[in-house]
Amino acid sequence: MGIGAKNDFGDFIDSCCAFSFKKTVDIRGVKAIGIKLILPVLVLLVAGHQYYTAKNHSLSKWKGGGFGMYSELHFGARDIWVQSNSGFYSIFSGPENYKYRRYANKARIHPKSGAMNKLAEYIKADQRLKKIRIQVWELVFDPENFSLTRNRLLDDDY
Amino acid sequence: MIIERIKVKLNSFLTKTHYEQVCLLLFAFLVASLTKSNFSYHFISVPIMVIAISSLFIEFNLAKNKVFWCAALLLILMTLIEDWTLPANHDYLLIYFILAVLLSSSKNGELSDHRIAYHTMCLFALTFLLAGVQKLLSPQFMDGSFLSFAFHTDNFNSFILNKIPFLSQEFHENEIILKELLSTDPNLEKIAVLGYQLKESQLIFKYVSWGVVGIEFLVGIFAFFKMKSQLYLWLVLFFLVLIFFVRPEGFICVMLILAWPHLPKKNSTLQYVFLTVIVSILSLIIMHNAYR
Repeated sequence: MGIGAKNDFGDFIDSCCAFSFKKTVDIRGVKAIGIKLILPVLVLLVAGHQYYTAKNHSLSKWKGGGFGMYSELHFGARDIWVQSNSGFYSIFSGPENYKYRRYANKARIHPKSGAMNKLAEYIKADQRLKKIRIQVWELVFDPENFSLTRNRLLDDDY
Repeated sequence: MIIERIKVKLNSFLTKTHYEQVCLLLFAFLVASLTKSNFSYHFISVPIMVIAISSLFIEFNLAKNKVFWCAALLLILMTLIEDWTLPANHDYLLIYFILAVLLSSSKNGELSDHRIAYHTMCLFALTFLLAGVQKLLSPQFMDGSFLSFAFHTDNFNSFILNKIPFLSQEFHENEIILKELLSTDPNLEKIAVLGYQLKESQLIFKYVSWGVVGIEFLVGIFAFFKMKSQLYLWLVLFFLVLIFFVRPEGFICVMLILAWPHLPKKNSTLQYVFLTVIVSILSLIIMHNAYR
């Protein structure tokens, strides 16, 4: 069977591209370029979107498809603190807060997003509160004097 | 006698087309990786899994079994649909890889090999280049603080350094200091200082960080021109194995499979070494000694 065989998935995609451009331009050239560009363009679009969201909306570079793992501290170095009637506490401390982990994990990966609202709503509903204050902190390491401090990423009432 | 038999069996694998080999290797990785994943929407994901497994009974030749690849793609895509921020970056890489397998399929083996070589080369190069760009644009990485923190708090030493009792204890004490800091009210602006410190290491970590970025860029750029060079493939193998020893991540295995279609068919030594490393990493993932 020759190289031009058209009866499999990849070949089908080839045919579809060819059909779309049939009447306008040189079919072979465009479809070949189209097939070759699908993946690289997709990778670059997703990575670009992830980088933009990480830079402007505090998304952890470890997530979201941008290949930014190991370029900054892991999102585990981010902590969420809640101010409510029962005091001021880290959502990741104590077994009583375990039920919030799922939402809290999402919220620390992408603090400036709907995930934080969902976490706040869940805590308020669970503890029957009208209002809570949430802070997100991230760890900062100074390699010169080996010191650890924390930087506030978010501080809002919900 | 046994070695001869193994050789005969291995040759039956090595004489397949590159496309078929990639399908088999990626399938093995998916089995190791997906069984350790969490899937939601069980009313959809379970039927998809049923279809994927059933398809293997009907057509075990993975190069022909598009139902399996579509089902695997759907499964991973569903985790993205649920929340695109939760899956790790290498889950995205798996999606691209499965897409590459689907886009490369053809009844013509030669054409499939040609396509999979192109798509894997693109994915391999872009992964390294984008990882390099992300690090280059991260002040935390470029000033060496990320590597220094990872070293001093035992994030990077799974295989070697933390097996040394003295260092293991020092790392553990630093972890306790870290935990104490994290348990205090951050508004008090407390400053903690690590107990164990590798003195005068700031410059070392800074230069190592620059070196890592430089190597990632070089590997990515050379992939476009020298992907089939044996020297390049040996160096890539060495670099990837080195990374794996520092941090045993399963995506190293994916990168090796991406490089597989570029291995020269005549160089069986290189193929055997790649295969040994891939199989070893898969085994370590299954045995929970490496991350998926």
